[in-house]
Amino acid sequence: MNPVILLLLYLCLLIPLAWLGHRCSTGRTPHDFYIAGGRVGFVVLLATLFATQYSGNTFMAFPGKSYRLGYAFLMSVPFMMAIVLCYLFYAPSLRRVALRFRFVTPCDWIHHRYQSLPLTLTCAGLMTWALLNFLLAQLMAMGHAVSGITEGQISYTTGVLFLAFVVVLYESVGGMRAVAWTDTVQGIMMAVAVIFLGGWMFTGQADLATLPERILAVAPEKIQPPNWKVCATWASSIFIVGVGGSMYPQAIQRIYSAASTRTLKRTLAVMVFLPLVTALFAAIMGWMAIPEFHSLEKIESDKVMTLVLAEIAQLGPLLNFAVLLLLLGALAAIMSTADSVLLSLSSILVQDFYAKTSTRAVPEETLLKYGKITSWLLMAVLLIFALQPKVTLWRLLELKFEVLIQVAPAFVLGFYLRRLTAGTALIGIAAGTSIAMVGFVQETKWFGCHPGTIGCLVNLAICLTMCRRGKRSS
Amino acid sequence: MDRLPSNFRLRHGILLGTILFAGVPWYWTEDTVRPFILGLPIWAFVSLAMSVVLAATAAWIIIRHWKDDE
Repeated sequence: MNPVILLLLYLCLLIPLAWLGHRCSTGRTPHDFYIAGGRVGFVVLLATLFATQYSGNTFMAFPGKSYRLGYAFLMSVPFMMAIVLCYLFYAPSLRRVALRFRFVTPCDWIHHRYQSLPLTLTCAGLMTWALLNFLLAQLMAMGHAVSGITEGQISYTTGVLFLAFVVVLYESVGGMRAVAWTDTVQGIMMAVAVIFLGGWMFTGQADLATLPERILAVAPEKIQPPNWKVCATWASSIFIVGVGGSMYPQAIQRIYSAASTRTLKRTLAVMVFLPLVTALFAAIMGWMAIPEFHSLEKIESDKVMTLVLAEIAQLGPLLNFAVLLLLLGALAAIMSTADSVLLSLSSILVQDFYAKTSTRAVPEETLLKYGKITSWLLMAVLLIFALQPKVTLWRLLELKFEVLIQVAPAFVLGFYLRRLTAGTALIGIAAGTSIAMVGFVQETKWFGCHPGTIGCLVNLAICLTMCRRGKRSS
Repeated sequence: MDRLPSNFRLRHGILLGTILFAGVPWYWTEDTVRPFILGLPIWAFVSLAMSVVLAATAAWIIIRHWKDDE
């Protein structure tokens, strides 16, 4: 089948869903548009969380990193699980309070808890930074995926421009409902593709059993147990991805949007097992490339997934179709993350930055209209950057977490420590973010740990110490 | 601490942290590669097994200890 036709068929499927999402909205309010009125059921919630969490990073950056790091990239399985583990620390309480006060954005909780505009805006600013970065990574990954699927018939630039238009169109028309339903279609596509090719790999066709021997022959350092520094990076990655990933604003908004707590619990109980399929699959793809392609440059190795799939596709027509399906699944993963991030970004910019700083009450319909306009403007600005990719996708991912993770102490400890004040939380955030930024500028890890992890630990220590002091003096 | 959400307790956090820590392959010597199990070197197989245990434990905590209070 012509890949361009398959791509167009898939895209044609998304537009009616957006229209349906628009038709099913019960009221023109931000709560209905951004949270789907808190009525998302188990299947859709699972699919949308799955499709949102597994993104261009999983399909494009993970195999590249796995190729570079070898078997030590098995760390991707526990660090993706850690995201769900971190929800346990705050999701039960957050859900209770979010239902009561009809929260729309994550910073609604910060504002409710601390009653401090500077802190709310700081947290919203950090989340915006991270989301802009994340959306940019998705746009770049879209271009690579389309170019790969159509074997160069559609260029990177055309792919980025066209898909960005499709995403912003259905996001601004149907809101959370359209995003969740398109995510469901995209999640199913990803699952089918991974199961199909994963099945082929694990039934012995890919000769996985001899893979370690083949890697041992060409790159023994990639199969040996990691040294202490990589182990520190392993532990640090669990921390930074777990804490940072659980602070994804779009994921927090899905905690609000679940139809019931039981639905949310069942969804998370399934979600925690998914890295065993998805992250592991992406890691294996990277390992398979090690004996086949030697010494790829860093930027080139981000395309390692495409190279491996091209080899598999040559093995027969059925596998060719499976590869096409997987690439389409990867594209679906990227688009589903991009739409969720875009929705979340526009909600933060309008609900937090505009509505909370406005001196007069802004009607909900006006907020909604501004939110939709913001989505289009955001996409236009980011496209300029997406068309000039200069850093590897993995670096973009790390930059996102370094910043996002700094919101966690104020966000999570707000449920536990009554004495934690906005001032203390702000000092912690300032210290943590400064440390993360210094590390990022130096382009280094300290003792194998991400600077963001160290920054967050300092941030956490400041919050805990100052609370204890406050307790003693009172 | 003032309170913990629902029935989630510190001991659950310690349990999950311990499993996570056991999954980091810091206790293997550099030349421990063989035997290969299910296409993985022994150290990677143990780490992956720890991930399975981690997921099962987390699911158990979510289902059994998260109070459904709506």
